[in-house]
Amino acid sequence: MSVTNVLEILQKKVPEAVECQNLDVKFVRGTDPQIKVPSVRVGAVAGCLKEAGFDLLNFLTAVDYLKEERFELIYQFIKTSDPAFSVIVKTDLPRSGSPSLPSIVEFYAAADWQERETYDLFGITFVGHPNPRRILLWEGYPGWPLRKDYVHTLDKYDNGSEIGLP
Amino acid sequence: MSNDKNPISTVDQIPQTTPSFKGGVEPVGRVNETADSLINGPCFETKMERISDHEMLLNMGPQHPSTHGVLRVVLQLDGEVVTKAVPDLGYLHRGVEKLAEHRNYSQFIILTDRDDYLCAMLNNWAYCLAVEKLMKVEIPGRADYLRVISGELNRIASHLLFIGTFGIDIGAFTPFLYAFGREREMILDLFEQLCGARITYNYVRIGGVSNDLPDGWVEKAKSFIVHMRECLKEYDDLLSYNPIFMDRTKGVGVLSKEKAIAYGITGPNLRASGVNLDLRLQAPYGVYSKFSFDPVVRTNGDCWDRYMVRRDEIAQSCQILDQALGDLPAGDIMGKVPKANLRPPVGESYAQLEGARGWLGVYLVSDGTANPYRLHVRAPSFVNLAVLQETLTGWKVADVVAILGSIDIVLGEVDR
Repeated sequence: MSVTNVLEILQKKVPEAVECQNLDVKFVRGTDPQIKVPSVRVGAVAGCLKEAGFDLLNFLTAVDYLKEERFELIYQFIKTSDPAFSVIVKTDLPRSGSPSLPSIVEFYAAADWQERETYDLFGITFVGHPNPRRILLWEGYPGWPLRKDYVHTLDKYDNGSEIGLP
Repeated sequence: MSNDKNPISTVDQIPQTTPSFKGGVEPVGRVNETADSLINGPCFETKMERISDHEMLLNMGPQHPSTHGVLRVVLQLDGEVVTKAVPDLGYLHRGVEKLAEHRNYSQFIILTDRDDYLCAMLNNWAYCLAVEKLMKVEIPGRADYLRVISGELNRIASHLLFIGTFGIDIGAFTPFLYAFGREREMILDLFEQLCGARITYNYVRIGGVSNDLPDGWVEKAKSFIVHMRECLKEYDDLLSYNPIFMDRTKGVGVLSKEKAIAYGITGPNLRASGVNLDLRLQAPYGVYSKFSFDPVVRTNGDCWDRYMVRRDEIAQSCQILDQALGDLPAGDIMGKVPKANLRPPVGESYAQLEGARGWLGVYLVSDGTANPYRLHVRAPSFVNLAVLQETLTGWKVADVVAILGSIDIVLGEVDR
C-alpha cells in the first residue's frame, strides 16, 4: 500500500484531504506519507482509516506554531499486519479563542489518554471525549505548559526558602 | 543571593492570578458531590471510605509498594470486587517535553535517561534515531552493533527487574534476590565498565556511541550470557511454574487481542495477547535485519502469559547478543556529526524502536535553530497503562496488584 492508495481511499469520504509533500517542499518530512485534512473532518478520517485496516493509533500530539497562529495536530496510524508502513494525518487549528476538534476515542481507545494529555498540555478541547479532564497536571493548573507563550508562575519552590536554600 | 532576581520571598507573596493564561478553555474547579466525582476529587489518604450502602472507595497509592512508583489508583469496591478503577497520574511529571525546548540537541540525551530509567539505553537510542533521521546521518557499523549489544543487555536488565518485582507483587520474595540482586548487577557492572554509569548511561550519542568496548569486555559479556541462560531454568523452578504463582496469574486480567490493539498496546503486553508484532522483526532498524531470532508470542493474554513473554524475551535477547558479539565489526564508533552547534534542517521526523515495554517513539520538530522546536515522546508505559481503567473492573483487590504488575510500567516514563 502506498500513500496514493491511502489518499484515494480517504478522498472518497473526505475530498479535502491532500498530501503534505505538496504544501511546503522545503520542509523535511521523513519517510512516512503525510496527509493534511481540515480539523472538523478528523472523526471521519479516523473512521475511514479504521475501515481501511489501520487498526492501531500509534500516537497523537500537537505542535504550537505561535508565529503562524495555529496548532498542528499529528496522528499516526499503523497496520499491525505491516508496521513498517504508517500514515501520518495532520490538521490545523486556529490558536485564538478556544481551539477544539472532534475526538476519535470512539474509533481508537488509544486516543483516550493521549487526547487528555494533549488537552492538559495545550488546552485543545476534544469534542465528544468521554472523560475530558487533565491527566498529568491537576485541575486548576494555571495555563497550558506546552504552548509557546506559556509563562511559568512563580511558586514557593522557585525561591528555595521553603526547602532551606539561601 | 540578591533579592532582585527572586522578588518573592514568602509564600504569601505568590501571585494568585494566572498571568500566563491566554485563550483556550478555563480549567474547571473540583466538585465533590457524587460518588463519581469523589473519585476525581482530592482524597489522598489511603483509607476506606463508604460511599453508598454497599460500595466503598479505596485509594491505592501513590505510596503503595505495588504501584511501582507513584501511581494512584482509586478503586470503587463492592465487597472485594472492583466495580470501577480510576488511575491518577502525574506525580512524577517533570515536563520533559518542555525542558527539551530549552536545551540543545546533545544536551537532551541525558534527560531521555530519566524517562524510562530501567531501560535508559533504549531511550537514548530512540532519541538519537529521531535526530539522525532528521539530519540524515550515516552511523558507522561498529556503533550500530554496540547499540544493539548495549540495548539488548539493557532489555534483559529491565525484564529481570520485572521478574523480581512481579514475584514480590504476588508474594514471592526470593526470585527478586536472584534476578535483581545477582544477574541485573552483573549487567550493571558491564555497563559501568562500558560507560561509567550504572543506571543513566548517556551512552548512545547522535551519530554513534560515546565509548568503545574496554579490553576483555566481550569475553565478560559472553560468559554472562552463558550464566543468564542457566539462570532462566532457576527462575522457572523458583517462580514461573510455581503452583501458587500460576494460580494467582493464570487466567487473571485477560486482555483480548482486539482490545489490546484498540488501546494501542505494544511490546511484550501485545505479544502476550497473540499478536506477533515486534519492530525488530517486522520493521527492523539499526542492524537488526542481520540477526535471526525467534519471535516470542503467547495467546492467552493473561498475567502469566505477560510474565512468560518477558521471561522468553530474555532468552531471545541472549540469542541476538550471541550473534552481535560474534560478528562485531572493527572501525569507528562515531559518524561525521558536528561536535558542537548541531543544527538539523527545518523539518520533522518520527523514529521508534522496540523498547522493553513497547514502542518507544520520538517525534521531533526542528525550526533550524540549536534547540528542538517541539519534542514528543511516545511513551509505551503511558499508552499501555490506559487499558488499566477497563481491565481492573470485575477483578478482586488482590488481582489488581497482579494485573498492574504484569503491565510493567515505569512511572518515570508514564509521567515524563
